[in-house]
Amino acid sequence: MQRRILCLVALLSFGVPSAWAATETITANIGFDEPLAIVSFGGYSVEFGTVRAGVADVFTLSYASGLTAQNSSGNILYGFAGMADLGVSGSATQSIQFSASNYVADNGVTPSDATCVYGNTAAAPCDGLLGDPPGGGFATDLKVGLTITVDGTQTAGETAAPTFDLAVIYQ
Amino acid sequence: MKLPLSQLLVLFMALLIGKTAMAATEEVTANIAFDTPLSITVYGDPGLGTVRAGVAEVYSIHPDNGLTAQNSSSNILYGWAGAADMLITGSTTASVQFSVANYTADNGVTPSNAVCNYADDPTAACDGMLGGPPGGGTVLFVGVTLTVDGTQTAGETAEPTFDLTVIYQ
Repeated sequence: MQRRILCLVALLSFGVPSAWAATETITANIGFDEPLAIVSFGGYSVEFGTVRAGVADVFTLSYASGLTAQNSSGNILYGFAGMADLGVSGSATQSIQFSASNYVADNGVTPSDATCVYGNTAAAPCDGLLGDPPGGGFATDLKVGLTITVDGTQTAGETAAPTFDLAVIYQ
Repeated sequence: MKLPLSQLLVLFMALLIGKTAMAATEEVTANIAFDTPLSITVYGDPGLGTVRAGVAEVYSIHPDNGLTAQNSSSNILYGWAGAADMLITGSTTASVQFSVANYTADNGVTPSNAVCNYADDPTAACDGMLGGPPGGGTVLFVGVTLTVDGTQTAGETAEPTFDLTVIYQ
């Protein structure tokens, strides 16, 4: 009888060990890709050429129309005018998004309304523009246009170099 | 030799008394209690998103701080990053203890230093961490550090692993 009791107690003491513990194998997931880069084929600048001094006007450089003046085309004098010729390189699989911010005026000239032509898509405001994966190796073409508001305080021989920030991020 | 009845009777009584002194009886009680077994339910593994290929770096996903890179935050490119999301169930009275083992590397990525946030207690190293009774379900967030050796190319992935165990104290 005592032996039977001892056996019963022993059995109850050791119990079912797996119920006292639980083990889970955890898997950490990580992927690898190319970082984004904006490259320049002709300089990181939008060129407006030379315009009439002492006259307030609004000049726009766009993909469809080139350089235009809001008040008078006669205020456009001479010199090369063209959009920024850039490229974007990065992932072959991850889509991107552009943003334009931090418009900074210089010598009475205020930039605004940057427009982008990314790859073969139609021109659109850069800020918020979505784009396909740029791909590695050769960059996807990006042309950037801009509007500048001239306050007319400039005199002949002066220049202005207003700026803005163009950013591209992975979505 | 024949004994008289009276002597036989005395002898019989003596034998009877002697027999009871040769035995003792005690009531023994076996004690048993019942409780709920421990279990771990995984709602999501830790994710570190997509990082820069070809660069050696150390990344940590932390329940409190999110994803960080030791050398340069620009090595973090895109994608969801977050700690593992789990539920521990078991006893409402017995405390628990965690342990971590069997860190296993994959594709040049080595895991280490798993950290746990259990029931909103301060985040701490999982290994050896004590915790209150899990009851019907106590949330556990698990972070980890990954050391990347920089041999990976764009498009590759890695899935290093480790074992997390919880036991009753």
